[in-house]
Amino acid sequence: MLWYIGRRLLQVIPVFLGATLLLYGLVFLRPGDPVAALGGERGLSPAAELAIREAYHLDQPFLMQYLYFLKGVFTFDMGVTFTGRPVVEVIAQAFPVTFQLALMAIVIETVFGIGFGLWAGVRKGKLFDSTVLLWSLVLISVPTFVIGFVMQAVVGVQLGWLPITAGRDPDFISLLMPAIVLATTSFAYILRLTRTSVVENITADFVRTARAKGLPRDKVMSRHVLRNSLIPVVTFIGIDLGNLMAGSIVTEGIFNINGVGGTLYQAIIRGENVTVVSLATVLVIVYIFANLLVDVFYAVLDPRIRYA
Amino acid sequence: MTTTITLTDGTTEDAPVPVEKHDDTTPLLEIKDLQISFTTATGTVEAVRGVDLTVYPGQSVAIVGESGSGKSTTAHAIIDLLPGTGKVTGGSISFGGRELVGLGRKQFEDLRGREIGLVPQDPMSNLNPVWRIGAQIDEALVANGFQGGKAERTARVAELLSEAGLPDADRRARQFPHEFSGGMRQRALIAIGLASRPKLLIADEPTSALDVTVQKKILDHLEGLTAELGTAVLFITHDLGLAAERAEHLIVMYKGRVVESGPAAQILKDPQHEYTKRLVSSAPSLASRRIQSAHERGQEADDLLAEHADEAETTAPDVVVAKDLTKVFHIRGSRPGSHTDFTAVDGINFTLPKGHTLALVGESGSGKSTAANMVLGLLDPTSGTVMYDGKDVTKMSAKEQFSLRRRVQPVFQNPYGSLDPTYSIYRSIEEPLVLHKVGDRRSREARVRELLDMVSLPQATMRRFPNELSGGQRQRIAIARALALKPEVLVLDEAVSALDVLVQAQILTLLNDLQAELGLSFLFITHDLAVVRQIADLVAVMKDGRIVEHATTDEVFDNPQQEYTRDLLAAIPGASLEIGG
Repeated sequence: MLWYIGRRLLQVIPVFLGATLLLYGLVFLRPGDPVAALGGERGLSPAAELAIREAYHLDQPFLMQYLYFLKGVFTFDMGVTFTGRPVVEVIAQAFPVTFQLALMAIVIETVFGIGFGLWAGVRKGKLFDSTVLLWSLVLISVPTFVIGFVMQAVVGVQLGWLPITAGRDPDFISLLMPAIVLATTSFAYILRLTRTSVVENITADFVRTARAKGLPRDKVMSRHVLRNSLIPVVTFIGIDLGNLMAGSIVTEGIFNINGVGGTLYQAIIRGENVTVVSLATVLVIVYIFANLLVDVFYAVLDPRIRYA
Repeated sequence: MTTTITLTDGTTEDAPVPVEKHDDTTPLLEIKDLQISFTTATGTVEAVRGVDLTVYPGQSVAIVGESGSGKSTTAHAIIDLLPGTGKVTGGSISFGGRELVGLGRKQFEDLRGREIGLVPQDPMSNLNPVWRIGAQIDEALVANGFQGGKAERTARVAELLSEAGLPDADRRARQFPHEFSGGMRQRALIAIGLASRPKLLIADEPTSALDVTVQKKILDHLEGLTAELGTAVLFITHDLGLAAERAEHLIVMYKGRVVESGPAAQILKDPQHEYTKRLVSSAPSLASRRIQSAHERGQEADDLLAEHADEAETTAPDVVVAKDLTKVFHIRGSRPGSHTDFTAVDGINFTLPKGHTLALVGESGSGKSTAANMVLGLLDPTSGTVMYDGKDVTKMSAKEQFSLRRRVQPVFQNPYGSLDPTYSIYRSIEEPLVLHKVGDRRSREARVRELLDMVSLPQATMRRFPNELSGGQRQRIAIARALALKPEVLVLDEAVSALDVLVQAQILTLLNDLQAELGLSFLFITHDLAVVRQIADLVAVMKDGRIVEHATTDEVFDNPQQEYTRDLLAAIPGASLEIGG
């Protein structure tokens, strides 16, 4: 197992290099000149333009620019944005709130998804099961922003239970509605995944054996049905952690949260290549570690899996 | 209880034949007029229709029947573990004087494990893969009110495991099911079933998934153990030989009814019901002759035998020759770069004469299927050659190999898995013809009809789907598909192992007829020596990747040269039984 984790950690290096090179290449190929755009209608003076190009190494060839970027990453000095803020500071400001949001969403979708899925699976074909299945399909098909606006209108404005937007330095309560909106789609997937898994396991031979042993029903459920049904669900949740970090752009936009999504969006619009690549790189690393975590957890849940 | 029953001409002096000796005691389990039905989309299916059954304390009773006869359903109804929509709709089940039908969930939970234990059928799927063996026995102790703390329970678990015949029980208890072989898992399941000393143990096909030699050991052990503990045993089995050998009293079920019931010896000797008669006569473990298909066509059996024997040794050309065939698998180790070599097939030689049947016999892990896959060209041999009509298969070009596929066709074990459920029967049989671009639409349809005739299925079958057919019918389809390209060799990998005895006998007869009619050569892979006797001309016994004995079927059965072959023969259930009549 240690060998396996070590090897997986070593794999981070080529993945990191490959991903950043690819990202850097993509933003480099983007049409339009960010420096010229900076000047707006009026345009910059040739001297100022040259100064900016030199400061950001924009006069150098692509590969040199990339190497400058790498150097920056390893010295934790990724340069500054066009407004003069250090990129490191931008990252440090954007990630905590997104991370909190993602974590809240994960907890919500896991607890409710597994709970509802288990109950639906146990009562397969009954009213609860069919209702829940239908609604999960609705949640999957409706776009996130629709759910967001509807919740803002109903829960926020009409009922007045939760704040409508989060704004700067949001607390737990004001992040609750965005987290719920962010969690909806995954909640529906987890629910369906758990249900399918439970339906499959509940008729498994070893469950019948467990009942034949004389185990009480709740023990059979928790130790044999639920435990075995969680294996595919955990895989999904782990991958979803990465998705939630990156995929909150829409939700953050609706609720006016200054997280990774919003910052990334602004940086793309302004053509701040270094900021875009830096943020995306952090996301790539989050992805890699989330997947490693899933694989390790997978082996813990299912002893048949041995990594070599 | 007795281990073996010897019945020759009714002389029984040194063979203690079990007698019904329980007239004075009250029954432990008494089932009267039991009715069980399942609700399906198309209506109600009556699976059990008026079953009567009595088990006395300490007695062993076996229910024998084919799949779908309702034997397992009856057994599961006793402990309220009917699958799906199954419901007891009538009759009574009384256990120790207490009526079980209509008891609540809690009462059944108390009953299970403590009063009635279960040893289930398939050791591979009946242990939860994510819990240690010890934990799975431990929870049975906890659920059934074992007095004592954690340390006592751990000690008890080890005790139960070694009682079930697992050496090194302390260490074994800490292992997971996937680290156990099939036989070891079955022993763990026996330990679970007997953990709380139930008065009755239901053993549902406890060893049908195991090799015969392992089966014999485990059944011997179970028999000794239950005799010692005074546990009554209700065996559920499809194997008449096994039932007669292991139980005092037999109950034969057919289509949800008990058709015959009585002492084991009496039923074997003098079956009354038509179905039992057929069962006794076709039980493979009791049959002793090769099926004589040509006999019906007016040839003298003796001539044929002589002819066969001659051909096997001299006249018939060898269609498949395996020479020093070896397959080594590399198994990746836990460290980077480390690996171990596993020799699955170790330099075997065999020949398959044209128009004959060679049986490769061995237990699981003996390398017989690996050898078959190399003959089929599905695996490349590490060294050695497979010659087909004098040509080396391994040196063929891709194109030649493709045309070889037309001449060598497989039939696999599981008729449920080897047919695509989304393909109609027509499409399944037609597929090889399409792949090899044989004929046009019309001639292919004619061929499919002809093939269905050949395997004795109505032509209308071609519009149906695999899930609408029984196991035996599906295996006929698989054979029809294999024959579609008019092959010369069929590789039958455990082709009848998943089938009920009567169906098995039918398929074996069909194969034999087809062989005589079409001049086919069969490479028959099986673990079941009883089947070998009925179909094979030549036998190669495999053990640990090597062929330990290679001779004609009669020689192997009448005069086995190797200790291992003798063990295999002795382990056939019912081998020591002889049937009268």
